[in-house]
Amino acid sequence: MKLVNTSAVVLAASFSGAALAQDQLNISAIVNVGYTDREDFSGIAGYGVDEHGSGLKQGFWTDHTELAISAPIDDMFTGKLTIVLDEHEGETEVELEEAFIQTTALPYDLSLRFGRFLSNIGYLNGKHDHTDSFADRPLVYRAFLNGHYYDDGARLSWLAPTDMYLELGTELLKGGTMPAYAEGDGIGAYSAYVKTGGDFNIENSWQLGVSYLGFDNDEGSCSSHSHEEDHGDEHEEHEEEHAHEAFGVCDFSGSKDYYIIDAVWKWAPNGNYKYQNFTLATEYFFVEEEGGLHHEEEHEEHEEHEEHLTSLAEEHLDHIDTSHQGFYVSAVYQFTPNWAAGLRYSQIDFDEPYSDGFKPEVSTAMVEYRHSHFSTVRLQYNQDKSVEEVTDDQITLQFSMALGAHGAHQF
Amino acid sequence: MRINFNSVLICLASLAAIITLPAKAELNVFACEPEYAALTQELAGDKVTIYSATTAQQDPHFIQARPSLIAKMRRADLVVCAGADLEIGWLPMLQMKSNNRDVQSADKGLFYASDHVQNLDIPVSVDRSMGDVHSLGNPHVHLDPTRITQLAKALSNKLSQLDSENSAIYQSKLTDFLTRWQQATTQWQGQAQELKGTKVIAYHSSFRYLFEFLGMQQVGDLEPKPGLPPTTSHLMTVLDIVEKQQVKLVVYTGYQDEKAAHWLQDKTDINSVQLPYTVGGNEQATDLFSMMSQHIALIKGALAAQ
Repeated sequence: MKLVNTSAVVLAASFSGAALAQDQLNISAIVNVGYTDREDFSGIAGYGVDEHGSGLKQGFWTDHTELAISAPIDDMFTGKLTIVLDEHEGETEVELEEAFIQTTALPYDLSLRFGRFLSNIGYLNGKHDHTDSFADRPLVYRAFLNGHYYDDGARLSWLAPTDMYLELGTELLKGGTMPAYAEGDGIGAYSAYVKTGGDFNIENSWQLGVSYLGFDNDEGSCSSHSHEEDHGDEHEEHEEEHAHEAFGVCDFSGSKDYYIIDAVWKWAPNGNYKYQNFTLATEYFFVEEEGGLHHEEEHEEHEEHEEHLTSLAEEHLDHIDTSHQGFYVSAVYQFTPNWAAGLRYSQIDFDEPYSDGFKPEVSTAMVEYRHSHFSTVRLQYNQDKSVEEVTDDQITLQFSMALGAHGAHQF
Repeated sequence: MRINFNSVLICLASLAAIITLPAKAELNVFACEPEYAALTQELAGDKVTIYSATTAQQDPHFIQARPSLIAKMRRADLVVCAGADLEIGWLPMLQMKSNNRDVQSADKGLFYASDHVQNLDIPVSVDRSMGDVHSLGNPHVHLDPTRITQLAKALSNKLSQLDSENSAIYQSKLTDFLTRWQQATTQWQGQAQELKGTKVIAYHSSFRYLFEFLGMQQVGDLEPKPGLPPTTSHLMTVLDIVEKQQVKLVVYTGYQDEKAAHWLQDKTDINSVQLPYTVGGNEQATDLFSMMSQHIALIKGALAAQ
């Protein structure tokens, strides 16, 4: 969904009017603004990524400022609506990130969610960006999930009747938002996940998850912000200035399968999180791609070596059957009620044809000051080696502030 | 490799169907804080299984919606919490993730203590420049014995509503508890006579209802604003209050940082004392009775020592 920015103001105004009438309506705005000093984004190896994959933008930004409204609807349903402001090519766009209803009264420990929501795969994906401990999502999330994957669909979740937390869930999704661009209007993406967790003791808690996400992408159904457009009109769609070829975000048609393992450990003295706590989180991605990769040859002499030719003379459709893997590890230590510091490392091992051995990686360090529970000022440094030719030192100053109701956070 | 989603769904559905839960022998009670675990224990005894989500060493404002708590809430027939937004940062997440339809609303298995007593300090208007203020008033209601009496009656009703078979037992346990509690309250009121009008500094508004009951007066807060940790400049103004207003004592509890209270003690000639705040807050505070006695004894002891 895209609206012009004035609509957002109208929406916000009408919702805050409703707040006065109904006590249980939770309205919260997250103002997320900052300044980043970095080189222009030039891709993640040669992998086809959307503009959302670029991370923080150069200069001042207001991305991912959001407005969320949630409330119990009646004794059967609860609902939530989240709209997010994003800047694309100088225009402010309003994206509907969440619009779902969820049951609260199903028997047998089941719940059903219907509408648009963040997929519950992995650890970070189901969480809102503003609850992250870093200003941007890890490289592996930016490359494979476009930062985060939300879509229209339905989720069934079931809690096993065990003493230990064990949740099984499955999602049937439209496949209409990046990284999915599935054909047709039916079910284009599907996921399944198992999450478990517990306490080692009063001070140490853990969570473990295994997820699967699969979809069949179709080039003809792809419409997205292609990052290549940022780099000047003189380039042909798939051409980049650097040596290794970079593919466009819509160049792949075929099946993609994600297998994700996530693990989280949290510690706080006596389990009292106010003064000190420590969080170690890691996620591992294994991504399989099988299908056709749209491909424009830069050098004419290469053309005759290609076996698969499309109807267009200069374009080829290569059959690929590849797999990639990537991970991130992050550690965050809050050492006073006001101060926290964290380190993160993320790396991706792409298969051909996206990379011929080069492994993109980003190392991150951050320190943040929280004046209250509602305001965070964060200074972050990224050493970004997303492409082989460039080592980009990125500095970000971020202000993330919560206005209004401040909802409960996930573990 | 592709997972067949129809089979996953069928598996899920059949698992759910196979596990027909046996009729529960007793109520599972999820208490957000130890004081409500203790109150439920007094009123229900062995008719319930009680789990306390937090300990006395944990600030109930800052609890993680941990997997273990989701699992406990899934099994709960009754959730007993302070309410008034004290648990706003974690309880709604547990309710949503627990897939438990019995604990979503107060007409079923959800009991908020602050719904059943008169809350103090309900702000006329709330804005965040005031700090983390609860618009429904101060939620730390368990430290006033007269409010505990009201809460006991309301919670006993809730237990009978959910488990009508045992309502006679709940009624007799309530009567027994109220008799003992009334005696103790009279005793505490006698002990509190000499405390009336005593001026204190406290960390947060955690002891608001205790001071109300004892007739003491909190004239300063170590926190500059609710939820914000003490700062040097704020402590200088507190120091000024201590010197000008004849403050006698600084109190705090186990989950609060003791440094500010100790600093104030060092700078002045008044004592600081760590109070249990809830059941389990020190070795002697093993139930609601000993918790209240400990509060009075520790305050009197600290005053006598100077």
